[in-house]
Amino acid sequence: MKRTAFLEHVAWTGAGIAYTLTAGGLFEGRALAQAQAIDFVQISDSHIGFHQAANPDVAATLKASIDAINALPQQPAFVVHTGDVTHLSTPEQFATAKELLSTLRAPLVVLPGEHDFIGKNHTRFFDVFPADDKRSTWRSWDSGGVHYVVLINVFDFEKMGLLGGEQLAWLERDLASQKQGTPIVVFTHVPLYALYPQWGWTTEDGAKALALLRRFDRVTVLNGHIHQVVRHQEGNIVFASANATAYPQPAPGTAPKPGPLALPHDSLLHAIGYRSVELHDDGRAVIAEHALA
Amino acid sequence: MIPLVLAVTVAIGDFKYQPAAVTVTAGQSVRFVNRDQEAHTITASDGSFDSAGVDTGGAWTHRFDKPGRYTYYCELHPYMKGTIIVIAPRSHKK
Repeated sequence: MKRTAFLEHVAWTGAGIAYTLTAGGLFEGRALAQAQAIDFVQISDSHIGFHQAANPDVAATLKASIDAINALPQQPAFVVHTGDVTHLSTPEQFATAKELLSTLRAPLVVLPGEHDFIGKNHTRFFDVFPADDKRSTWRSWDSGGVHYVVLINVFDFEKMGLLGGEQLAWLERDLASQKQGTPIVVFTHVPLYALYPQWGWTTEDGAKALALLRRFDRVTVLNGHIHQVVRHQEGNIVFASANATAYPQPAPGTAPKPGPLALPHDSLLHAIGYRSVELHDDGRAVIAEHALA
Repeated sequence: MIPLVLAVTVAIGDFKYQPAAVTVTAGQSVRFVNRDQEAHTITASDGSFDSAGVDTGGAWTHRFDKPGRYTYYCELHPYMKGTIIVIAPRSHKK
């Protein structure tokens, strides 16, 4: 994809204003109120149960994010939580998370993160957040001309993110019936590409999934796990890691290790929150980051 | 005479098990103490033990009864790896 095509493909926005790069390379700002309605909202990495200096009250910041989403003038079609709902996978943490998330006005889609599968126990998460059909964990659906795909890359976390042969075979079958021009939106927890393998921010067999997605004109892959906004592009595939609702982590390579980054309270509120996504008719994703302050 | 068995502690800090390899006698326990701001687990590669989540400031103790070489990792940060070598007690030697 040429540079200009990419710039048309995706527009990144700050609070309240959407900036679109025009074909001429100029930024075009417009108030979000004039933009198309939000299609969906993404939240991630709530780590319910975490209680260290980086955020002593993660339940409160998840609730603040939910309240802000509920206050949107037009409710999104759904809210997706891209994993690490809990910090330690305990029943109490799942119960608190469920209670908070059930206050969302919009329908909820939840992916597990590795923090939700501690002890290799997958049933606790899926008992609390069952997929619609209560059978499959990875899944897809069509809405408004867009094909949405949920991929789970934390089942075998010993190898960092891993999709596995069964899921990849399913993805191949799932995408086979989709047309090249259909916009594809993929949700995962761990980044699908090698964002920073030194810290485990990669999916071992992610390249196999990306090979299946490459033929589509517009693919947007949204993930969590790294607690910060990182954007990336490979051909027609645009990647965007999301902020957490709990606490930020250091940018790749800026610290000896990953982990909770303790900031002054005001700075914390600027580093966490939710993201809204609107998909234009041509499949272009306009992504707006909404911090809590 | 019963020898004094010193407690063996593995500290978890900076996303590392310190020391990364320890040797104990069968029947001895190892205490893992998490000094990181992040939670960790102590999970055996062969599935023989698993701490589940050990929170910041938390600890987990496991007794190793069977001689052998046990590698373990953190389920949340699998690049963190450690080894426990369990040797047979001297009195069992023939």
